[in-house]
Amino acid sequence: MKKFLATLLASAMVVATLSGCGQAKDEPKEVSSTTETAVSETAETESGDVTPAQQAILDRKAEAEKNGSYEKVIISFFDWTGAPAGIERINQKLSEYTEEKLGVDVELLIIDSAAYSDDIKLMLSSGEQVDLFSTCGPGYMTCVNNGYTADLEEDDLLGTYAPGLKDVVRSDYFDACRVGGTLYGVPPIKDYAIQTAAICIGTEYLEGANVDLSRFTKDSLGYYKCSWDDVDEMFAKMHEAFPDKTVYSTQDNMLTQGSCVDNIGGDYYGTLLDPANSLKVENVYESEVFKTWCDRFYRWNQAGYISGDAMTDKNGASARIKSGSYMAMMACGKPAYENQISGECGRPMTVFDVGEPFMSSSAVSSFPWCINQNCEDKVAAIQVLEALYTDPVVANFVCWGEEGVEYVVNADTTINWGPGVDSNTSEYYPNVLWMMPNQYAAHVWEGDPIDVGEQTAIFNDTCPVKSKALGFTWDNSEYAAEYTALQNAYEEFSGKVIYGFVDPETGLKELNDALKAAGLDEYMAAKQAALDAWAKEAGIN
Amino acid sequence: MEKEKKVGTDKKTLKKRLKRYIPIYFMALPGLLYLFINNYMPLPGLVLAFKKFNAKKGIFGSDFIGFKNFKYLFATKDAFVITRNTILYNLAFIVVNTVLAVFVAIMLAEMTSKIKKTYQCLILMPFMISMVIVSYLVFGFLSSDNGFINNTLLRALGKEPIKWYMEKKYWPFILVFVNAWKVTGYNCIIYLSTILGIDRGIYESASIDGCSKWRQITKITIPLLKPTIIMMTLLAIGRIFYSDFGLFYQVPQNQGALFAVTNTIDTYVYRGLLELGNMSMSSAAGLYQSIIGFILILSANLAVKKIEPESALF
Amino acid sequence: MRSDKKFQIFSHAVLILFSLLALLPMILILTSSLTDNNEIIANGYTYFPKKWSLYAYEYIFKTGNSVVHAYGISVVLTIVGTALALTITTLLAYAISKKGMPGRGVITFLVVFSMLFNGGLVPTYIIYTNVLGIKNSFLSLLIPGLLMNGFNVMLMKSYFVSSIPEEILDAAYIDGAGEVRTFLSVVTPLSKPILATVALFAGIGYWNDWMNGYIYITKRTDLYSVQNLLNRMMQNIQFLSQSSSNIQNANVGLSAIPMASVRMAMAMVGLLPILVVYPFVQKYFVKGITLGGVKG
Repeated sequence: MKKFLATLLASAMVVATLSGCGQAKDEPKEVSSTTETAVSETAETESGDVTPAQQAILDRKAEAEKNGSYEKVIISFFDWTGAPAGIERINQKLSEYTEEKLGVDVELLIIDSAAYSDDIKLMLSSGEQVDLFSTCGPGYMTCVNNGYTADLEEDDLLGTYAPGLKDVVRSDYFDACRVGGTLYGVPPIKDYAIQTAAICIGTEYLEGANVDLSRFTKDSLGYYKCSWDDVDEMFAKMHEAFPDKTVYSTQDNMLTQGSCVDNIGGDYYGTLLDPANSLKVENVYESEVFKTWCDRFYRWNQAGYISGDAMTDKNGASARIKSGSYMAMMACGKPAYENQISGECGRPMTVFDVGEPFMSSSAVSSFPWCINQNCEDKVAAIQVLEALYTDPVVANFVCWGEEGVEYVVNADTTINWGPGVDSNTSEYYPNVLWMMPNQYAAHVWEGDPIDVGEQTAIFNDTCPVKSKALGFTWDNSEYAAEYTALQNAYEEFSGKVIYGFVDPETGLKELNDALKAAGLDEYMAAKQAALDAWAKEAGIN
Repeated sequence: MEKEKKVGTDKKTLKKRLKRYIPIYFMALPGLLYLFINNYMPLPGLVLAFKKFNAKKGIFGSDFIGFKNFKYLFATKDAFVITRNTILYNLAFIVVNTVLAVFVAIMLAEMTSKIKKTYQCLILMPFMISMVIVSYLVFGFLSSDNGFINNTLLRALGKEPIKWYMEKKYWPFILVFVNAWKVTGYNCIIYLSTILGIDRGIYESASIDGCSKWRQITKITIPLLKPTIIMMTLLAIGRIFYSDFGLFYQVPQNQGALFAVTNTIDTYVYRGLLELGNMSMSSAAGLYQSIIGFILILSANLAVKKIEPESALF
Repeated sequence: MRSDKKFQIFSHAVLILFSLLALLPMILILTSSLTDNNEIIANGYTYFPKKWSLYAYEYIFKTGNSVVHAYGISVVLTIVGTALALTITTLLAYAISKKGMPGRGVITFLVVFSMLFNGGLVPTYIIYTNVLGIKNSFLSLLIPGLLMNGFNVMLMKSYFVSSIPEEILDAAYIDGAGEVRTFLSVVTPLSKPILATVALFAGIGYWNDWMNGYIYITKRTDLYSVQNLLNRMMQNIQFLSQSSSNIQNANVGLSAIPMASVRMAMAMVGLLPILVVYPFVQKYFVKGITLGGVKG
């Protein structure tokens, strides 16, 4: 079975690559992930002159010689179980390598996802030693607004001491992380684009309802391309064939995963409705896009496709399908998504591509890696950060643990579980690749295509609908009162209209009245002003 | 005799009195030390409420921005609703919980059968369950498709199912009920221990005099419980601007249709600050709640002092 | 006497009702924890599951950090914490129950004030980590917030004032007993109900606390208490299910955690020990105090 999945996955990837290439634009492609190349060039200059970066390493080594111990760089991020059992061993092995290579010890401080957000904020507020941290959890803007993050370009820190970063992260992705012109973080290398509105339906239900799939063509990712009318038709058939099952498993993702509306600045109070072409901030809740969604859900709800408990049921959409009493859900597609969703739903799923690919303005800057402003040796910190992005040895330790223990390398350089180890018994298995600085610098897991990094880069680069506001970030702390009121108003009036429990005509009016009373217009005006200022500075119009 | 002694004490010099109480001061010392570390040392951090926090500048170095952090608590018409809800629920809790706890405590204390141990243990159990779990239990009963009330109870009675999470009129009762269900077992222990502290001799002589149980309760137990009731009420008044977040956020499943009767200061603040992560603003909310509570508790205490000086807090 | 009998019957009726109200939801937790997860999601919680399953308990006891070890931490923490809390609280409460003591009003005010105002999470954290340096240690579970609270102090003080007659204390003084001896040999025996109450409250506080572990334990997973461990587990699953679209293909298994039943099983796992211990505490709540002997 596993092998079958792997083959399926690989073929899906190939299809994706081929079609991705076909769409590629003419711009020069800086593939964001070829890892082996960038590793150590920085350390060897031709003339034998010592670069400042090398000098810093030499100085630290000399210092260590004198003190008998190396200075330590602490890196913090989250996993799902808290500090792994093997963390001390990994830290020690990793440090053995970095002592030699960078003249520092490295300590991974891994906290579980439940506590990370609060714990890291407390540590950053109280001045404890944390040098590098992932903003996945507390949020990038929160960290910047609270002053936790260091300016990475102060005295050309990045350019002088970590030039290798610029080889693996494209400059426009760096720009996407600037706040008010200042660079506070380096984005993890991952898929930034999404395929919106992927309708996932249990294959058995399609068969049971005699849905004819042969009339659909497949899209670039290998999913059936279809229209909303087709979806309606399929749902009607499924509802008829399985009257005691609920057709659609809801979650509040119609805008995030089902539209190309750009929630600039991180919230939907003032959005770009046509982000590829216009920088006009508009109220999405009065827009056609949103109304179409609400009408659709109202129709579905009237037709009995939606559970009466949709508003209160907090189970995940896929968990409900897994339970066997729901049949379909919406997510966002990406390469090899069908396998993943089938696993989550506990049954083979068929994915229908109803939307289009989209990269929102905050896609890149959602959780960059940052240096603590309180960090004592920022040079050491940024050099470790560079190694995380460019040095396969370091990346492998952080992503996968120790070779021969946690994992073994196959002949084709992919990896698999080490002897007698699995996901439950592994002593180091953070399982957060997407948050890692550069997962593609590390080994690829068996079954994934070896060039998954390049494929993802292409998927990102070829995304046709890219927000013009890519890189716009907004500090809304001056409008916190409005934001709080808006958030309360939204939660008060959104539920019944987005799940179709009320006629959209009345429901939308109610929602918009409440949002306006809460100060939506002022909030949007402020956002527009900030966007205009940003665009002017960035030379975008 | 007692009066004489009191006069005598007052006449002693302060020094002598202090000396007499030296062992007592030593007894108080560990507790005071703990209060100092745990409660008073962090207190200067409250200035955060008036600042725009920036880690680079530290808590005390951050820019002073006056009352701006408090603005969101009053900015919109929601301010009225959340304040009203918070106060009214707390008043209801004070009355309902006190009555129930005293009631149960008296019955437990007067009961002769050994089985009262079992009762007491069972009644305490809900207190041990976290509000998250309680919210799922409530959902188990009230869910519109699968809930017991709709599926079993109302169906058996031949009534139409009710969409509980859409109808706000039921929720003030549901929340007061759930809260009472959860805390009665805990609160009744407080009154129970006070009743058990009453000299049994008093009851015995009353019994010999032919006093009925009912008269013993109204004439002996309740008057002797009064100081404890007053103290508990005073302390509850001090927290009248606070609300149990779990009760008001998780139990109603954060349903918008119910906000008019479930939104309190704490839930309102939470919805805003979850994303913002603004420490100064949460600090401001806490300070606001504390100060109102402080003013109320001082005034209530003053009133009690006038009427029943013995029962006043300080 | 007839009225007494009526009263007893009435009491039984009322208490049975209250007990059932408390018990029935607890049974629902138990049955749900033993129900197949898919059935819960499909049909909701039920007293009579069609498909029983022990998987939730298997999951809890097999995954990650050992629950058994965490039980050990919780037990030690609760015992040590309760003993310390009871001592400190009683001593302070007794002091402020002394009517003639100079400074009594001020100290009482300080206690009440501490219940109303707090410096907030960040300043408290800074005190305990940077000033006292107890992060990632057993002390960080024991000390912050839980060791003494104003509520218990006031509760006890109120008992001392109302239930320990001054005549008894005076009699002891006249007999030549000092403050300490009076406290130990006269006051404490008469205060068993309130001592048991405060011990119970402190014990429940320690047993149920997960916040200290959540904030102060970042490296030492061996210091997780049961509630801390369960809470983290639950929140991790929740977080995972929300961000499942980010999980890589190889790791699908993680999102297959039976959340609905595990949640209920965790509640049971956290609750059971209290049910075991409670009867032992309870004997202090059953008998009243008789002053007769002391009064003479």
